[in-house]
Amino acid sequence: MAVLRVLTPARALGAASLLGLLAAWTILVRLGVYRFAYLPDPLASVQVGLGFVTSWRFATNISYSAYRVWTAWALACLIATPLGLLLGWKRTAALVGFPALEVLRPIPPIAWIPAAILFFPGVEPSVIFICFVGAFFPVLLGAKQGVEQIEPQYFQAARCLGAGPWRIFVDVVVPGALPSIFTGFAIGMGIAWMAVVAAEMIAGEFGLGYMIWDAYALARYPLIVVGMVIIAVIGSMSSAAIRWVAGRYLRWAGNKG
Amino acid sequence: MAILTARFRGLGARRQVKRAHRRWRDTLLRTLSFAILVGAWLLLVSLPGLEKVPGPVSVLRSALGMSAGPFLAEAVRSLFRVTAGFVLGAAAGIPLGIAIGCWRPVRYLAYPAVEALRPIPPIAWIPLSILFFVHVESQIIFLTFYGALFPITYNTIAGVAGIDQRLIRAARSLGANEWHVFRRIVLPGTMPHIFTGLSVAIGITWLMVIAAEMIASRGGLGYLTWEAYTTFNYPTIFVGMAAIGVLGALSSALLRWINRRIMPWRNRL
Repeated sequence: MAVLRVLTPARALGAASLLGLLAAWTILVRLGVYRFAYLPDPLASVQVGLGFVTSWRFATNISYSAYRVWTAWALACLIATPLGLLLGWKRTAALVGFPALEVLRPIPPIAWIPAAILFFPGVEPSVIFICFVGAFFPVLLGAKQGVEQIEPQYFQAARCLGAGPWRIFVDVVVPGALPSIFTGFAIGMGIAWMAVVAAEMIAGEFGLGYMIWDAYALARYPLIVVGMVIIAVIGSMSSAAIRWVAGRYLRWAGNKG
Repeated sequence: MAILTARFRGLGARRQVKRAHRRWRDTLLRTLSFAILVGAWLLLVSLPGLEKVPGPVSVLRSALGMSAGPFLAEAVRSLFRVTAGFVLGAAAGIPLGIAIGCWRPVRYLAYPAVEALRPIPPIAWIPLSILFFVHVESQIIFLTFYGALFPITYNTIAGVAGIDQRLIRAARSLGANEWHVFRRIVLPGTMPHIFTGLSVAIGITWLMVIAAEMIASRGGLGYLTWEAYTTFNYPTIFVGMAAIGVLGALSSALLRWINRRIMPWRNRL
């Protein structure tokens, strides 16, 4: 009976789904269908991956990428959150600040790469700037929309009870916007990871994006697959960490966070 | 009675004046916003160490001096790659999302595999795409397609999941068959979410096309911008960025317009 409880039909089909994916990969590689011949099958990938994960090169590359993403993300959160709150709260601020930012927003972070190299001396600040641009707008919009979603009655009630601007900010604006702010943080983290991979491919020395591009250029194809998996794991762990924090501290907000 | 209407008219006029004032003030503030942007740019360029960065004037001059033909040709190339990937992504993602959302066996079978692939950022597929596709055009279109696929699929799934089950039960008890339930309830109920997915996807396809063109270096606005950097043609970098921004904003606006036309009952996206 215990077996039956663990092995529900849903889980069985889910396992079948993942196994099917792995089986399709293995068969395509083993039969050498088209370019799959260049790739390692899952077992070989694990072998290459284990060898790589224990190497110094892995430690260097991963710490470069993580350092770039997290620095850029933290900077974006520090700057864009207060700015977004202000733009969502004060109409005048929104009118002065938002149109200029709306002009810059449709430019994807990747398109900033040449300009970033021009602005900053060296690779490091350029890559961080590109990730910063990627994380900045989702965080900004998260904070702004968070404030805009707050019921106007809350502001009126706080004012009736004699709250000044600072009290309204602390007791109404920030807590009301917090779930949306965290959503922005999580989206910003995702885009920062995308941006770092692209920036490292194009401009970088070191980093996971540079590594998979280098692996392609040197025809060390198995390393590409390993790199992709590592990027996926670290990226989703970063987002999961943010959601975990949001879930812990925003229990009152339901599952909006 | 006459006095009353007159007073109301007076009130209306005052309100109109107030509103006109407000509109003026708003326009002024918005103009100020752009002025600040240009001012910040001018200030940035005059900083020591940033002599290489072109100012707004030289960028404008370079944009006006450019021959329109080749520039438009690059823009059309990027636009084609974005459109092709986007349309393919929608054609695959919407049915996949509806199938995963509607049929439990499909959900159990397909969802874990989709979920396993999702965390890989589309950018990380660039080397494999170049390895797999011989033709540059198909390399880039695969990447834009892949970037569009996941947001569309996931939002479609969320849309189907958000449909009120009572509507479906009510329709069934009124004698609706599967097709009717799908056509009258599932599809219209999912549409707003599909459009959310499409509007996220169009942003990601633009991001993907620029990255892919910079790396694959076969034409397009991304390549133009990168090439401008490597050939020290710095003002062109900013012309390219502006063109990318304008086209991106236009495609999002087009999508919003279609959304309003198809679903007039929902004016917010």
